[in-house]
Amino acid sequence: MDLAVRVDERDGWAVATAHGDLDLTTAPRLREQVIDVVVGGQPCVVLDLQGVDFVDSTGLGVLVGLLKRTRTHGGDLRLVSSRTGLRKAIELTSLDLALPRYDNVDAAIGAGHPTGG
Amino acid sequence: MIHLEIPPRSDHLALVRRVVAAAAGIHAVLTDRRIDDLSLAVSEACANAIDAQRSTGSTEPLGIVIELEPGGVVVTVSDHAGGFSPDEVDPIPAADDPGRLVHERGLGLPLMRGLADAIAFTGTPDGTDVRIEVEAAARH
Repeated sequence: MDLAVRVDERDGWAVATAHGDLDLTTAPRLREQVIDVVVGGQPCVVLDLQGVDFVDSTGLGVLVGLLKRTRTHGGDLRLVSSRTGLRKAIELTSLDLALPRYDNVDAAIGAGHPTGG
Repeated sequence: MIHLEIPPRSDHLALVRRVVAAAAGIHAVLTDRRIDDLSLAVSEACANAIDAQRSTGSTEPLGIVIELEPGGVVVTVSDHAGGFSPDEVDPIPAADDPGRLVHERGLGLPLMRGLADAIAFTGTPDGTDVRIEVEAAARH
């Protein structure tokens, strides 16, 4: 299955909503799309993965890379997903402290803005 | 027993996952959650095999054998990349280690080990067999 990503603006955040599978084949595309947003001047990104059915180790690696990229630019990356598969994969790779997850986009944005605004 | 052969290309991973999930689903021994574990572990094994064959230039197809056992499902992924030792792969740092975020790659092995109930790497004359076992009742 392919991956579709849509990016919207909301309350000073870029909200990227993904649907499909995030794997070895599709993860590079997500990375490119989010990096375009960051380099374009919006380093505060919410990544809504609620519609993503599958994430593999390459997908997790891309999430780590994007977290670092957004923070380097003074922003943050917040993941939205309540799905068991992603939680388990994050725990098994010891990424649970680095990649906190929120249940919905409102909770991710409501946790405060990295620029203090 | 179900045999599948795929070209060593990542755009076939989704197909492998779907075949494994469908076979395990028909078998009706594993829960949906355990089928997800199995599909991801097999997908990681195939991704590693594709990576390894790319580095050795082998275009031989990957073999995937699905065995439906009374207590679970066993999937064996066979590559033709000349051999590999999981012990030579650096372990990833703990979650609270500041160096954790340096590791964007190498996440596949810890995932496979965590998802499978048993995993075995066996050298073959021209590559490696990875045997992944998922049981109806998880050992962990």
